[in-house]
Amino acid sequence: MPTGSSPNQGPLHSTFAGDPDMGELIAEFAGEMPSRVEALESVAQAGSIDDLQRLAHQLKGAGAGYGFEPVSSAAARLENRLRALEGDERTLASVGEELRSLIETCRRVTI
Amino acid sequence: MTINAAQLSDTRPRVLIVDDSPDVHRLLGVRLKSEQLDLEHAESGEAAVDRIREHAPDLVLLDLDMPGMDGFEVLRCIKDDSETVHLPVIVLSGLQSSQDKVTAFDLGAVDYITKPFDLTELRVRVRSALRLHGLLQMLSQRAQLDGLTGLWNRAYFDQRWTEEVAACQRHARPLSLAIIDADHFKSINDTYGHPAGDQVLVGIGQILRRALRQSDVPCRYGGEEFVVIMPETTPEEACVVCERVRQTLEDVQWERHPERTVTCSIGLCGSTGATDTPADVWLQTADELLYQAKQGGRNRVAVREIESSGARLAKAS
Repeated sequence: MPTGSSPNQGPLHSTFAGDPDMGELIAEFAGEMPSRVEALESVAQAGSIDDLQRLAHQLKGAGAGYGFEPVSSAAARLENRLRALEGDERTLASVGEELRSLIETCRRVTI
Repeated sequence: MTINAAQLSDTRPRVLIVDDSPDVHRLLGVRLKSEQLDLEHAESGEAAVDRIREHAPDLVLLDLDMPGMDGFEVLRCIKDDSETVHLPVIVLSGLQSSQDKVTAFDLGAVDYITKPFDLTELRVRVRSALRLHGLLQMLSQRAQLDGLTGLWNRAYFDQRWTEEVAACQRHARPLSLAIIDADHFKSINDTYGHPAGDQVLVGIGQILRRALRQSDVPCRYGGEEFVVIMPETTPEEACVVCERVRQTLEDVQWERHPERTVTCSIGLCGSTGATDTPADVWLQTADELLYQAKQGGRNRVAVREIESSGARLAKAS
């Protein structure tokens, strides 16, 4: 399958893209995305699992609201995985897959 | 709950959004823009409680899952306070569990919406909650009105009079009280029947509303007795108003008995500034003046100025 044409790889547009009320908000959200991704990466690096969970929770709430449902689902997967882990298990390694998937999805966000 | 005039007017409903996520505030701001609402924002449970205590909104959209004071705690605070217990709250949450919904409803939420919001659903639920609340306020207001004349009823007067006297003492502002009693009312009922008597009472109510100012509080006190609270009004000013009422009533030609006019006697008692006189004594004084007006021949106003407190209290200019 040629790259770029798979529904899970290409740019991610908001489902509200045509909505005149939402234009500005979508642009803001898409514009903030790089710094949100950076925040994810830096708390992950620092090993602050609690902060990672909080960021995932926020993205879960925000994504779909702006019409980027895949962001919410990816964030939900990460958050739920973190919720399920206790004590020693709460490590970056345990959620590597979910975190990678979330970051990839976030990077696809575009106006 | 008491209703003030501002709440009855067509001002835009105020909706407070409580959520720790700035995204929710932004999104709801856009989505509810078309709804003719005044939106306010609080980003924590603590901030919400402060806001509500300061100036209660007409509806709260409340996120449950917040750090610090969570939505459940905020809901408890709202419902535990007698001033805000009737404030409608729609709970918003990403939490899916049925138990949370049950708890929210148990604590007094009127509705529950899960995130991400279906935006049409959100709008209609907001409208529905505001409509319900409007009806409840109207119902509560009805309980404070006299059915026949539409004026405030005695229960409302009792409460309001106490408040006005306290305010008068606190701020040393003028305040006047008039008791208005229809003359020979029993005779009107006996001669022309009760429907005629009712019409007279309704008529007096209308005359009062037209003669009085926005700030005045006309109440039906009893059978043929009315009482009017006139804040920010000196006895002299109140006398002018009462005279106007008296004259207008005398001039009315009644449909059912054009040959018979109706008059009233008025006992008026007011203060130009702060006074030590307690509310009940003040009312009693007005009542004595009413008696004087009756004894003096009816169809007149008997007025007296209540003694202001000593020189230490400022007299209103």
